[in-house]
Amino acid sequence: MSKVVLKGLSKSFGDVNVVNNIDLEIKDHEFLSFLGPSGCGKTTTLRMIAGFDMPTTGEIFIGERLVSSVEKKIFVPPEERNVGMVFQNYAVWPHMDVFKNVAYPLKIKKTGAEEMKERVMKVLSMVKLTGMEKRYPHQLSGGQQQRVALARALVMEPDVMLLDEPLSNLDAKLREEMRFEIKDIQRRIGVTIIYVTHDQAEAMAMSDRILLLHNARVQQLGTPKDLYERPENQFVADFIGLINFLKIDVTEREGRMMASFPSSPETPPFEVNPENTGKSSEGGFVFAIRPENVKLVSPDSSSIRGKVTKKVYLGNILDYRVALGNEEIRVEASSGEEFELGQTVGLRFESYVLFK
Amino acid sequence: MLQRKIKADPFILGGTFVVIAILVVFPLTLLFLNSFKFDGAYTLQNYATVFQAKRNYTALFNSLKLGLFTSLFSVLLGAPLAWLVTRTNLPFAKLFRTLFILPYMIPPFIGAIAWSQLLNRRNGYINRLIQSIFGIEGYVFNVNTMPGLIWVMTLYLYPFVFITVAGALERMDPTLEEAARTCGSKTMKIMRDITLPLVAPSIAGGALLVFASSIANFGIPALVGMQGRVFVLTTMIYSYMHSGGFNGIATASALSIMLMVISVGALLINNFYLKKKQYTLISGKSMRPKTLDLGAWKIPCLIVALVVVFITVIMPFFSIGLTSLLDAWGADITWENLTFRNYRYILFEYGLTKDALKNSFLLAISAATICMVLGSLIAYISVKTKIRGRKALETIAQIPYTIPGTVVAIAMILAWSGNYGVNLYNTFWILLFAYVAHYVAFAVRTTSASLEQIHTSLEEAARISGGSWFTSLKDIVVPLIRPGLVAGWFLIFMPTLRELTMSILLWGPRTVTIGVAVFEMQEAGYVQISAAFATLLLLIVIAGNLLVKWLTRGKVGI
Repeated sequence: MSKVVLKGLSKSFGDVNVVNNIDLEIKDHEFLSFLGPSGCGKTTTLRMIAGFDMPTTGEIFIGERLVSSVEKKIFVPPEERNVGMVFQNYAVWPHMDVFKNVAYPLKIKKTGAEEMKERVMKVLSMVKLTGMEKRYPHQLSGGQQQRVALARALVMEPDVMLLDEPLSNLDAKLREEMRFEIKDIQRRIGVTIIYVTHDQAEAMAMSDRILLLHNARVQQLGTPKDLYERPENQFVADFIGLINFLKIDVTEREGRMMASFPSSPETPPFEVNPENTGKSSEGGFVFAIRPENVKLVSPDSSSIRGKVTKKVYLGNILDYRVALGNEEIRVEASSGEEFELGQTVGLRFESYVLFK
Repeated sequence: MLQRKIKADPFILGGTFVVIAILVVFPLTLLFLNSFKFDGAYTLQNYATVFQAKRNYTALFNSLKLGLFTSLFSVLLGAPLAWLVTRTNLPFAKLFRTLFILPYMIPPFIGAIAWSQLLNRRNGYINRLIQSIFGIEGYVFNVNTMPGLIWVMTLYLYPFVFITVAGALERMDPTLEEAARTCGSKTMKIMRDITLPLVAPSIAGGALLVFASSIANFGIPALVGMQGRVFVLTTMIYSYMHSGGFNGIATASALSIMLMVISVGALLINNFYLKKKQYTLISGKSMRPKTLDLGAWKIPCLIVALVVVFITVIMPFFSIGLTSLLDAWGADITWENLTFRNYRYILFEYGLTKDALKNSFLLAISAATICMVLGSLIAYISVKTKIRGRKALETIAQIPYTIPGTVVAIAMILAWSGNYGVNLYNTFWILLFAYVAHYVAFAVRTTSASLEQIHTSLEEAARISGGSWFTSLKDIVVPLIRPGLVAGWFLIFMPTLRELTMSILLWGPRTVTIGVAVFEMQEAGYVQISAAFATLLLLIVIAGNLLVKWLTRGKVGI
C-alpha cells in the first residue's frame, strides 16, 4: 500500500491540453475519486498513473518510487508499476475461465501452484465468486464479470488500485450494491484506491476525498462535505447537487454588507455574511443557495417575499418554485407549513455562498 | 397487418419462391440425383468409377494438398502482415493495408497468366533473367508444378486471411491487453497469452475461406497446372466435360458432388463452429489499440512489406503489361520489339475479343440487375415479412454461392440442355441463369443488411398515410436502401464481368465471354494478345473499383 504523488502533471495532444498542471498527494489507504464531466481529463490522469499514457510534463511517484518523470527521462512501463486496474468494460479475457483470469498476475510472477490457488480462492471469496472458478466470462453477468476484474486487480496485492468508471456499465441497483462492496473491501485490506467517475453520487458515497476536474484543471480538492457545503467556485457548486444561482448587488452600509436582487427591486436589501464576500466586498455577486437551505415561512415573518409558481409532491419532500422578481428559486421543503400555488410566502436563507 | 401484406402482393412475393425453385433447387437436385444415375438406374456406380481411376483420386488428393498448403502459407503471410499494419508503427501502414488487399481484386486467372510469363520454364522472364546473370542453361523455376500452383494460389488468396485478421486486431478491445500489462506481462508474453488466442478463431476462419476458395478455383489450376499435367478436381471435371460422352458427365457429376462436399464442409465449419468462437471483442470506448514501436526492426519490416507488394502486385502487373506490348514473344526485349499493335487487334480487328467484350458487359449488367431485384425481394421477405418459409428461402438463395462455380455450371447443364423440355445449352441464357444463381447471395446479403436498419414503423407510416404496399416500397424503402443497392449491383457486376469458372463450361460459339477469351487465347499460345486483353480487363476492374468507392463514399471497394 502506498501513497501516490503527482507533481505538475500535464498532458496535451497537439495543441489540446487534456490535463493541466495537476499537483496532488493521494495518501496511503485513501479512497480518492477523480470526478468530472466527460472530457475533463480524469481518465487521462488515471492512465498516466497506470503508465498507459506518457505525461507531457511533470512527475508521478508511487510510494517513494519515481515512476514517471519527463524531466529526468524516467518512465517505468505499466507492467513494472504494480498497480491494479479495473476497466470500465471489465476487460475480462474471454478465452480464460474465472480462475485463470484471476490467477494471471500470479502466473506472471511465477507463484507456486499451492500459493496461487490459495490466494485466488481468497480474493474470489472476497468478491463473492466462490464456486464460479470454472465459468467462462460469457457465462457470467455484467456484475459478475466486474467482480472478476476486481479480483484480478486485488490478487496481485497492488500498491494502488486504479478503477476507471467500473460501475458505469451496470444497472442502477447493482451499481449501488457494488459501491458498498468496493468500499467494504477497501476498508478491510486498506489498499489505496483512485477511482474515476462522472457520477457525483458515486463519488460522494465512496470517497474520502474528491478531486473535481473540469476543462483539464483542478476545480476543487476536498472531502465530499467540503465540496457540497463549501464549493470554491460556481462550477463546483453547480456540478455537485442542486443549487440556485441569483445575481445580487452588495453595498456596504454602516459597516454591514447589504445585498439586493437587481431582478427584484421591490425586495428590501438584506444583510449577507461578510466572510462569504471576500476582500472585494462591494459589487455584483452570484448568490448560490441549495434548495434545502431556503426556508418558506409566512409572509409576515420575512421581508423577502415571493410567490409560489410550482409545487410538486415527491413523497419525502415538497419541491417548490418561488418567483422572486424575474427569477425563480427552487425550494425543497421537508417539514413545516405547506403553501399553495399562487400564495405569497416569506423566504429565509440559511446557508449560502457568494461567488464573484 | 401481416395478412394484408401477403394479400396485397402474393404475386410478386410468391413469384420469388418459384424463381428460386427453378434457378437453384431444380438444378442442384438434378445434379445430386444424376451423380447416382448409371444406365438409367440409381446406384453408387459413378462413385465407384471415380475411385477406380487413379487420375481421379490423384485429382482429389491434389485438391486437398493445394487447399491445405495454400491455407497454411496464406496464414504465414497474411497474419503477420495484418499485425504489422494494424499494431505497429510501420511507415505507410495505411497505404500498405490497401496494397495488401489489392491481389484480391485481380482476377485469379490473370495472376496465373502473369506468373506463367514470369516463371515459365522455357522463356519465363525470371528464368531468363537468372540465365543471363549467371550464364546458365536450363531453367531454375517451373511454375507448371504443384509448388508453382500453391505459390500462385497463395499470392491471390492470402488477402482473405489478411482481411479477417486485420479486422479482428483492429476491433479488439485494447483494455484486454492493457489489463494483462497491469498484471505484469511484457509485450511478447501479452502477444502469446492474450492477443494470439483471441485472434486464433479469425485466423482459422480466414484459413478455411482460403481452403474453400482454392479448391473451388478453376483459373489458376487450369492455366498453371494443366500444362504440367497437374490436375485438381475442378480441372478434372472440366476435362471430363470437354472430352464429352454420356458417362463423362456422370463422372463429372460425381466428382462435382465430392468437390461440393469438401468446400461446403469447410464453409460450414467456419459458419457454425468458428463464428461462435469469435469473441465479442468490440470495446465500448472508441480507443485505438496502442501501436508497438518497431525500433530497429522498422526498416527490415518496411523492406519485407515492400517485397510483398513488389511480388504480389508490381511484378505481375509489369509482366502482363510488358508482354502485351511485345511484338514477338520469347524474343529479346528491345525498343524494336515493342508495339501497340496487340491492342489495336483486340479492340478493332479480332472478332473473338470484340464479341467477348460485348457479351460479358451484357451478361454482367443483366446478371447484376436481375440479382438485385431478386435478391432485394428475398431480403425483403426474410427481413420484413412473417411469411412461412422465409428463412428457408434466404438460406436456399445463398447456397449456390457457397458451392464451387464448377458444380453450379454442371447442375445448369443437367437442367437446361433439353432433357426436361428446355434447351438453353450454348445460349446466352444458360450463362445468365448460372451467374444469377451463383451471385444472388451477394444481393441478398447487402440488401438485408440495409433493410434491417429500416424500422418497420417507417413503412407502416406510409401505409397509414394511404400508400399501398408497392408505393411504400417504392417511396420509402427503396430510396432508403439505395446506397446498399448500388453497392450490391457493383459487387455482382465486377466478378461476373470477369467470370471464368462457370463460363468455361457453359459458353458456346456465339457466347464467348472475356474470361473465356483470355483463357482460350492463352491456351492457344497467343500470349501477347491474351496479355493485352488481360491488361484491358485489369484497367476495367480498377476503374470499376474506383467508381464503386466513389459511389459508396469509400464503404465498398478496396
